[in-house]
Amino acid sequence: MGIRQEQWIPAVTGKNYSMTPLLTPLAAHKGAFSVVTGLDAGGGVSHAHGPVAVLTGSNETKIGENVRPNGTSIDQIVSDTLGKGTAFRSIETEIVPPFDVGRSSGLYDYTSWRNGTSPNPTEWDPRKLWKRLAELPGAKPASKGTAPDVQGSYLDAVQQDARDLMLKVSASDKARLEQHMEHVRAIELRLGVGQPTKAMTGGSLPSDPSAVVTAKTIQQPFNNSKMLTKLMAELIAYALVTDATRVFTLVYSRPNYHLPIREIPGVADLHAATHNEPRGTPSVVKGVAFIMERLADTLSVFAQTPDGPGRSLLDNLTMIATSDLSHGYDHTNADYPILVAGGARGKLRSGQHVRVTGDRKVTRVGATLLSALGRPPGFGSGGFATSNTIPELLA
Amino acid sequence: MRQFMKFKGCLLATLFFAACNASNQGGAANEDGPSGDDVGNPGTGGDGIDVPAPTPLKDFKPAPGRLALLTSEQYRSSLSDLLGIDAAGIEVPGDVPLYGFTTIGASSISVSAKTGDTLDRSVRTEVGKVLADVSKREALTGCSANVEKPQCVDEYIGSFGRRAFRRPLDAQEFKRLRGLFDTVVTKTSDRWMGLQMVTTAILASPKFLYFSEQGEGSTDGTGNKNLSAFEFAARLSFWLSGSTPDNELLDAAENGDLQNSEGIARQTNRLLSSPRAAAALERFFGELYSLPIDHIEKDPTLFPFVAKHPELAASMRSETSTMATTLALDVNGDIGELLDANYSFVDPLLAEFYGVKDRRDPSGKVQWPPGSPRSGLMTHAGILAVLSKETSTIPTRRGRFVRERILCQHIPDPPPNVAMQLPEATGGEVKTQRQRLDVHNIKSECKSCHELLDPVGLVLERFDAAGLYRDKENGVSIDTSGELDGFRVADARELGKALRSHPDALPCVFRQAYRYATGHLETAGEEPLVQQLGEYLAKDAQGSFRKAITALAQHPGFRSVAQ
Repeated sequence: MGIRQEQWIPAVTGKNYSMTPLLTPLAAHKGAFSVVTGLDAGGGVSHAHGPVAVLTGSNETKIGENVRPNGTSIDQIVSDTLGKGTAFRSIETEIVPPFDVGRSSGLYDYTSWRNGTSPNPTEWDPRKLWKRLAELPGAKPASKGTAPDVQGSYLDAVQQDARDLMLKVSASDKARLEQHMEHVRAIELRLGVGQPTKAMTGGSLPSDPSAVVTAKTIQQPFNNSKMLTKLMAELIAYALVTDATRVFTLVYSRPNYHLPIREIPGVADLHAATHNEPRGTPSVVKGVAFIMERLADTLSVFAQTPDGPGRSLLDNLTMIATSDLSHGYDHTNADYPILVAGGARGKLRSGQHVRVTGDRKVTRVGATLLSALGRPPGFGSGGFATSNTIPELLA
Repeated sequence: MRQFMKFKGCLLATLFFAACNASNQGGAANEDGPSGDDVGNPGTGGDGIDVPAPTPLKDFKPAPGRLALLTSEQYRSSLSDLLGIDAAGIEVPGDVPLYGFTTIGASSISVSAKTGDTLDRSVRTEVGKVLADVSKREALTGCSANVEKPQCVDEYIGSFGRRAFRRPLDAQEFKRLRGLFDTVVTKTSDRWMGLQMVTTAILASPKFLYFSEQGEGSTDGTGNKNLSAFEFAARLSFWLSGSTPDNELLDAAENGDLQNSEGIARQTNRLLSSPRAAAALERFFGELYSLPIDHIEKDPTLFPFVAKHPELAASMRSETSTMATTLALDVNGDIGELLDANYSFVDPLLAEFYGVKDRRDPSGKVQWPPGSPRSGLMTHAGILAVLSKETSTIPTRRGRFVRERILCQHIPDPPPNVAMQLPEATGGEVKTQRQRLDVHNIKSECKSCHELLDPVGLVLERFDAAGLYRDKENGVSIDTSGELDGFRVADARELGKALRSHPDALPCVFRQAYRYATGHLETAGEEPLVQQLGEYLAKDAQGSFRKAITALAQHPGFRSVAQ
């Protein structure tokens, strides 16, 4: 739902900037993230275009009521190599899914994309994510039961069946089957087929969220988002430090969603408030600040999670935090809200406000992160393509 | 087409050019048409429903073959049927709908890691549970003590494989599964574990999780093939019963009974007469009309009854879906009645919500009294509530729903970078949605579309954000006058009548059914078929949806596939 520029952008650049009203919730982590302003995400389908531009570096295509990017999101680009050999190539999570989530809402349902026809749906129930992590062979002391090599014995037949089918279908359907079989190979890994079970080290499994989360909690996430964010962040932290995954997405709420924030009074519908209220009014600021508090809670969990000698998970990872618009009131994407958090094992410099000049393409953020990860610093396609990093962010 | 030309700015057009090709019907047989063996034969069988013989289509070109992942509900029902287990407890991955339909998404989306993982875990879990239960595993496999005998194992692999793959296994597939069984038994000395792994291999296979429609045999000289009898059986079954084909349907495919109109008519009628048909159609109408599934969220201070009764969402869904499926399955029913019926189906909770006192019919059928504001689909609370915000209505969205879902017209999105700075109707200067959407408030670049949407949506303004009747908004009497394609309407009842008499309404519901059944948006080449049968529904079949889908099932074009 965007931000309010006048309440977001710090007055000065560099390390000595002062927290603005919308950044204040993140004050405790000032040294661990950078505010990047001055970037432009261009125009397109309202609410959908911004995240597509920031995360995939492409424009979107509207197909019926759905929006598809014309590129791959940066988490998936990174997971192509970084995610190899991990139990989960990537994990996608969400805190406040739309009401009645089984019903097709058409637009804006996805943030992470392998490509335009392959979105990664999110998990919004921490109990389910916990179960997935808890069931990994190395998560618990070895239990008695069937030997894992028998449990996964069916997977060979599955792969062979897929090859039969691939001979009969169109090239595009063959590619769909190939992608499916990639996931089946990851299942082999998770079942521990053909390899000794390696105990997961580096962190201990959080307690089962079922103790505090019920079906009703999940059905009314807008009443419980403080708790749900912390639980989800703890599970993501565990998955990262134990190397069950190396890539994650955390969505607070989907683009264009009529978000009620019942945990603070007065914000019945943040989306409606962005359109209906004159600039800078209290409920928009309250609503955005509330979501920034959830981001702060997430950073706190990462900062408190040890990850190697003398280092925290937050020192080692890197995250892009962004929104579905720059300015909700008039659906514009100029001066896009971007935070880059985490130290990337010393590859990124945090704790500053950087105001970008010159090449203002929002894809410079992706190019910078790819560069920090040792990739050639190019990101985006078409009019979004850039090889310019943001040098101030690179250590 | 006059309504399409009146508004210049808003590029309103049906997705294809409806009503332009009516003269194609009855034209000479065309080279592009499928050369099914029964073109021109009477289209009715002994047990079927009387529908006219398929008419040759001019310029018809079938769509290419497809590979469709089972939708979550198809997967759930199939697993339940195959394993003999309760469907409710089966974990499903969720769908990625496209153009409003799960079946269209399932034909083009590549599965995510999470979906692949969920399907795999779900299969392993359910098969594991059945095989751990002595009576269930004996019922499934037909083996008990004789599990020690190879014959029992072989028979199970053959029969279970045939049902799950929706066709007999070929020799290589059989050998592969038998080999897996032997390997597991060698390692574990446990023949039941062998059967568990074989069953898991079958259900985790893409040959079960996807259904493939590629056609078979040689092309007919025009580059088209026919679906194999087994592919066609699967298409009919997933469409009309929402699940994998039963043995009778597979037998019909094996015996050649699905190669002629009579056999198809018999099987279609059998499937449509089963209680499963209602459940399958309920899902189609649920997706078409975006009905609530299990949750309606409204502001608890404004709508305390909704907040107190979470099960109201299901009651709302049931109102629309019961009415739609009842009309759709009745061979003498007129699906157009859905648009202006002076009755509805209301369960006790919805009756309480609506304030209906006289609810005597055990089916829940309630006659609206003369003068009742409710009439037809667009006054059903579920639809009205879904098309509203938590606190207030969105007339523009309701208008768009009528245009797109009921009339199959396409309305473009608002242009980017639009400031939506309409004043909120809160009781200050602006008291009603009509005042808010006043033409003088709408920017010029937005007007052409709002002029198509708002005069329809504002007619429904006497139904609030939860679908309850009101006559005032912020103390001001609500004006419900509006317009639909040249017809002035005074209120929701008149809108219902205008929709029912709209020439696009019945062809549209057929078009939507075709999209759902085939899992794709109709191609230009399929347009003659879609138009012919849409016209048939509207005219000769007098609104009988059942006749129209029976005619579709029997039409050679429906089992034709392009190479």
